[in-house]
Amino acid sequence: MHVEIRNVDKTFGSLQVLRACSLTMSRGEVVSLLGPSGCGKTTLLRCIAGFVVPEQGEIVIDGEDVTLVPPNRRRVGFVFQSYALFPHLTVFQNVAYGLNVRRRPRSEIAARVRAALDLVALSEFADRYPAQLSGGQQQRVALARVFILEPEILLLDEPFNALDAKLRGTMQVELRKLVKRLGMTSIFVTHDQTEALTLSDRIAVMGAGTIEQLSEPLQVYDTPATTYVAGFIGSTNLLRRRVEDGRVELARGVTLPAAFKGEVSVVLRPENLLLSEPSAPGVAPAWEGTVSFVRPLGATVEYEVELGDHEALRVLDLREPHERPFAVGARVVVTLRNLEACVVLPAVTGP
Amino acid sequence: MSAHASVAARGGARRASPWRALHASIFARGLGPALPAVAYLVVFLVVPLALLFSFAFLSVERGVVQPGTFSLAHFAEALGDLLFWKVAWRSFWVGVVATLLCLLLGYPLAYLYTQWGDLGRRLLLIAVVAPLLTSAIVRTYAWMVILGGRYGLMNSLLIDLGLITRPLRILNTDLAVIIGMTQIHLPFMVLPLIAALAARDPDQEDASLSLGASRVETFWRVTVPQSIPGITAGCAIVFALSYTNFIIPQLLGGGNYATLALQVYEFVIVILDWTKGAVRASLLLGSCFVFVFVITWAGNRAMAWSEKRAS
Amino acid sequence: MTRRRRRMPRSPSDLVGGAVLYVLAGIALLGLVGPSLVVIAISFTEKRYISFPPEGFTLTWYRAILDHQQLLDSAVVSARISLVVMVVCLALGLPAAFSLVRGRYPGRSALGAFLVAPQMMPGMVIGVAILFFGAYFAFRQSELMVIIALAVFCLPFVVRVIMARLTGIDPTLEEASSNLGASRSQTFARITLPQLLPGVLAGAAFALIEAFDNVTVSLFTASPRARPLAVELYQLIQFDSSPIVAAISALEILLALVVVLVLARTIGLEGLRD
Repeated sequence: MHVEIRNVDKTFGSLQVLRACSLTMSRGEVVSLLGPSGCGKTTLLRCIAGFVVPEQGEIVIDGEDVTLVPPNRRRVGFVFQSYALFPHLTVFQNVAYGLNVRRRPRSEIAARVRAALDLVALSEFADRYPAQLSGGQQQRVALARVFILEPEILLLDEPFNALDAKLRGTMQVELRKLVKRLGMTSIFVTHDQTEALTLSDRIAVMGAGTIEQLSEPLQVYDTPATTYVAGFIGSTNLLRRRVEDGRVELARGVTLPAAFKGEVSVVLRPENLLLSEPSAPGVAPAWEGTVSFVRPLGATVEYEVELGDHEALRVLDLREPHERPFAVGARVVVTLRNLEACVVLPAVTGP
Repeated sequence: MSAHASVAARGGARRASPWRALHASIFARGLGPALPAVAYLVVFLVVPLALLFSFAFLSVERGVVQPGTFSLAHFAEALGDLLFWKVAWRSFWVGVVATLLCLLLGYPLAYLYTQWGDLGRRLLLIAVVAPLLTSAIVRTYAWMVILGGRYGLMNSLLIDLGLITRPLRILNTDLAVIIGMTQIHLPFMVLPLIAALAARDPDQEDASLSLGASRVETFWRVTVPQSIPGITAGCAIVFALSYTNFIIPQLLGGGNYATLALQVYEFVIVILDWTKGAVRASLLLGSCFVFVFVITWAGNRAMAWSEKRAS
Repeated sequence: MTRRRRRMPRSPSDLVGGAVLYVLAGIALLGLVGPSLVVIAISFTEKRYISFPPEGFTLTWYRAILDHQQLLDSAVVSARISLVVMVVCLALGLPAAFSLVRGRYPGRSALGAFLVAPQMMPGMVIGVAILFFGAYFAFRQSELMVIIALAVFCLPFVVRVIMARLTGIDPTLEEASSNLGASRSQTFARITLPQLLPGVLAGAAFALIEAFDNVTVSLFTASPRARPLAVELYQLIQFDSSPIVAAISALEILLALVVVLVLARTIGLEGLRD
């Protein structure tokens, strides 16, 4: 185990930001902390960096308990959301900062800075000041500044927030390739699920101070551990049902086995449903309803279908080119494609 | 700082000693660095002020306090003296007039600051701040020159322009003092106003205009109410400066002109009756605080009133 | 907030309002700038008394300053005093500002109000109080007394300016420095202080200038034998009506202008708005 976080608690004033958070990572792994604002993900990251000291729990890096070790003596590199480049120093001086502070000889610094700048393709900008660089360039300086010190662990706090959408996509791919090449154990914080799904070996979905689920991206998608996680990753339908005799009835004639008792929520992904005309042949309908909203997204179309009984379903259909979608107000039937893909969870789990 | 404190809290629980805990809480929480300044002010401000007030109750002979002479008689004497009230009144109303004139002249200037571009703003700030870096003496002297007798600027100009035949006696009057105070204290009114006006939300004015209000109406209904905190701050500062000023009244008001502040100066430095000086200084300081408090209170009430009107 | 307003049709009340605004602002500006110009003009007059318009052009009065030993002596005294006051204020104010901005203890804002309190008082009261304080302990008026009193008076300037600058510094910069391996003192020296420098310089400049120009506090605490320049000028104005005072004033005005321009270039005057 390279990094272990054990039962970390942190309270600010009267607000408990982290509750018994635990996490382990192996060397070279990339994990993202995913969650909405206020869930504690940045605080957890800052605990690992040493900017925040938890009241309870330990942070262990490579077997050594570093919970009380000050930030300047941990071997972690932190990339801030705002990059925190020193405005009064040039790019060269920014990248050299860590080495200067350790009083390395001039020649060594010069050589290593050149190498670091080459790594992030910023060699011609060595004498510029941060204010003269674009957002993407500033981020690369922030990365170089940290890489040059060869940290054990790389921590990044929403690193792509300040970039525009197009650049964001490119940088995400670049960064994952780079980090994997260097074999650096990395932890990202993000609120963007696409980013988490793109970058991570495993995702830690966080809500209200705890880690709800820690699994590989598709596992989080296919088998969410709680309704919170299910609602956070991708869009989903959550149907409330009661368990009877160990089974849950989704709709007429469609039942699922359930290991729980009482109220449950069933996770039903929109792409697992199919819309057809009421009189279409060869279709065993589960529900009947009326289309209330259509979202033509290009390759797919998303529908909202009212079923009566105050229930509504979201359906995602692939679209053939030039195919016209159903119109608002059309009466349709909804079929379930794959019963096993549904997940039954105890009702109202998660924060 | 707070990480340090948390570490101290976690690690220090073992070696618990009350001194260590106090030491940790003072220095880990960051109070330490302020202590020298606090100590300095306590010794050289709080104690001297306390001494000053006590001098008002005791008789002081050549700087040495006579024990056993505590009495309220000195205060009673000052408060019973008609001259004192006349002088206090003059200090007060001159201060009020100067403050109002400062507001009248300073507000448009501050408002235009917000309407101008970079260059205009910079020039304006230079014009406003530069006088603050010169001594009050220099600025008052300038007005002595301008308002002076036969050969002062104003009189020369007016005579040359044929508007008057004999020089006006402006210097050594209330008017001169008021004019001097207004202009000399103008920067102190303009700066807080600029701060308040520059912080306002420009969209509100546009909203008002698009709803059909004229520029003038928008000014009175939207801009001015939003700037009330700045107005209050400026008025408080200018009034305090004017009310307690003695240089301007002495130089522009002439030998017979008396304000409360001038009286303090006379009693302490010229007449060397420190008890009387202490009494008047205490009354000056106390009344100044009261007036500033009233101005601030009035400002808060005005804000509350204007917010109520708006809703 | 610089907006170019397009010319919209104005109603009559708007035009009148606008005119009033400009007239009043014009008077204000005239009042701010005019007196300085007048004094500068007067300083070149050939007459031995103040008259306007000034006749002739001569530098006699400027030369007279150099001959006036008392003036020169008092200028030296003022320079000494203001330098010491500046140092004292910085030594007290810089750590205090840090404590007020970065500290986490109860009563922080009350402490802040306390440290800024001297600015709320008339300088005269501070001067009188310290005069009495000194007398109580058998100390007479002296240069030291002036320094002590002026340090009290000028401390708020320094504290406020540095506080303003400090709160504007991005705290993540210091965290980044720490993350990169710098100790607390290294972070302070390499990152915090350079960022803080404009504020420190501005505070120092203001303390220096205010101490140099101050009359209200100095008048009560200065010894008659070694008077600061401002006090000397105060006496001079009342007893000597020659234009020499105009010459000195002109020099001070020009110096103030130079300082303001330098400040405007380096740190911008915007930060002085409060």
